[in-house]
Amino acid sequence: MLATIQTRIDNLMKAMQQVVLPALPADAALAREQAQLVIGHLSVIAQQWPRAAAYEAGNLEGLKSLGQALVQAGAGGPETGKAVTGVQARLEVSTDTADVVALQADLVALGYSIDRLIEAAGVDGTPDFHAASTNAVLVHAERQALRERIWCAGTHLDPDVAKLPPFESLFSR
Amino acid sequence: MNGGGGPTSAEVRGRHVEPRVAEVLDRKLVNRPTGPYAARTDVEVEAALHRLMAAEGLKDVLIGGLKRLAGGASKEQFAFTLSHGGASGSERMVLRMDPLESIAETCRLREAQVLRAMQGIVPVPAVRFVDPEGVHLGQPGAITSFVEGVTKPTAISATGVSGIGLRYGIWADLLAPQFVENLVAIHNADLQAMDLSSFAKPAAGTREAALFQVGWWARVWHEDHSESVPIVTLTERWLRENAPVCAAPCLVHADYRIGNFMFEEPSGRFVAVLDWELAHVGDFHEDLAWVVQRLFGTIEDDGTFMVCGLLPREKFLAQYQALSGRTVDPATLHYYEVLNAWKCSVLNQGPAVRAAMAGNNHQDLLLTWLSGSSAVFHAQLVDLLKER
Repeated sequence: MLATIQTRIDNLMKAMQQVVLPALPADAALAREQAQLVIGHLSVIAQQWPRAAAYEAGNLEGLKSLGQALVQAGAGGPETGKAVTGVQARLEVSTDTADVVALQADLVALGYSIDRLIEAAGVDGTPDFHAASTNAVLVHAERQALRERIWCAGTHLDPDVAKLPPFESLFSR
Repeated sequence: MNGGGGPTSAEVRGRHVEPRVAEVLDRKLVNRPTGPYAARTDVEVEAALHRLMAAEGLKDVLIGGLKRLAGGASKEQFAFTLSHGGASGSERMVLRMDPLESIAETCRLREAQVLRAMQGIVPVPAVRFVDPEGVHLGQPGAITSFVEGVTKPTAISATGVSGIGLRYGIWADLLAPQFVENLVAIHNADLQAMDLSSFAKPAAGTREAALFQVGWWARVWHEDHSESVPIVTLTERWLRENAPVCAAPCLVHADYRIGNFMFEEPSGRFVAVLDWELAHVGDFHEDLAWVVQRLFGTIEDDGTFMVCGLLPREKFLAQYQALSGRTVDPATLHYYEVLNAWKCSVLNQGPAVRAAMAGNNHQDLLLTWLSGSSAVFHAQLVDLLKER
């Protein structure tokens, strides 16, 4: 049997921790810091990679919900009208949810079309759409920010990391 | 409607970017395809220093004790000792040099002008040489005097990068008063007495102070981000629509926080306020809102939030007002809390990721690591925007 991705990541971390890092001179500050960052990244990647497709699929689902809410409320002048059409077109695209690269490409394309609509609401959107777009983005952002904080909890950059739900909660329905 | 026939989003984006900032951002776009960038070796740095010293007319130059300084996701930093024929002794100095792209693309000339302007007002390193376009160093750079001191007590270890998350313990009583006093001194300094020729000054009594910042970071976001973040887009719109009037613009440090000042041990006396690269003329509320950010603070065992690990938020604001004679406007403070959280999102998910994707930084790994904190700011933006 071939070595699994997980085994190879574990081996990389072991080599960095037990061979490379101890061999670096104490005053090689940048090299030591980089070595520690390599170990840190590998540790986070080890947790994330098996779930990457499921995570991105969840992100896309959330962004599509935002797109649908914005299209539903979208009303205003020509900028808004054009931007609504752009989001509608992206919402009709179906994606292979097992393909991380395809999911990421869809997230980018749909995200840009949503950007245009949020901006358009500020240019010639009706007051009602302006308010609705704010609310819809806040609802999406609250959920998405929590997802990303959990996804990146392994970096320990989040000052409230101890209060975050467990990693696996991202994938429970 | 919000104004049929009004400006398009592209037109709005192009507004309110200071001319020198625009030049630096233009330069970044030109340089971007010339990467990837490799961290400078000691040999390369020594050669670059010799070129600069020759251009400065120095003879018999000796560069010794060259050492890369740790930290710094933004600039490459080196300490070295310079001696030359025209000087009786040698001097320890620090070189701050731009990588090809960084998390914050800034101007060494502006940084040097601010450092010179702050001499005698707050403790800062002295500027020795500047190569704003990198003609001699190969990359833009500035050289200052070396300041002895520490950014964190040697007996206490920081919990994160850049000193973030540090608890000062017993040092807080020594450092907190100076932390407030120096901030007040920066804001109360006489702008008219300073040579800030590379800065555009927002007009008093207008919304320019806020809009210059929105313009700067919006341009960075639109040129650098690789994936849409709806809350970032919404916040930019909100910031343009709600920009407050600034009655009297002053010098703003713009990265005044834990990790960006040095002090002596054991006295605790401040010896340098560091990292002026983001400084500009603006609204004092911007610095206050930066200082009180959740990411830079700590929570005490009793649940009290300590600004930069030093003192409680309300105490910090009260001391600042008493010392400065200024009145903090809660709505303006809130606006700048939004602006700063947005700016941090922009930095972490815009230029940081873009530079790392191209391999154009000396610490690509650190930049991608830091991008993992973006959602902390997104969550903050949600909370802040819901407050209004």
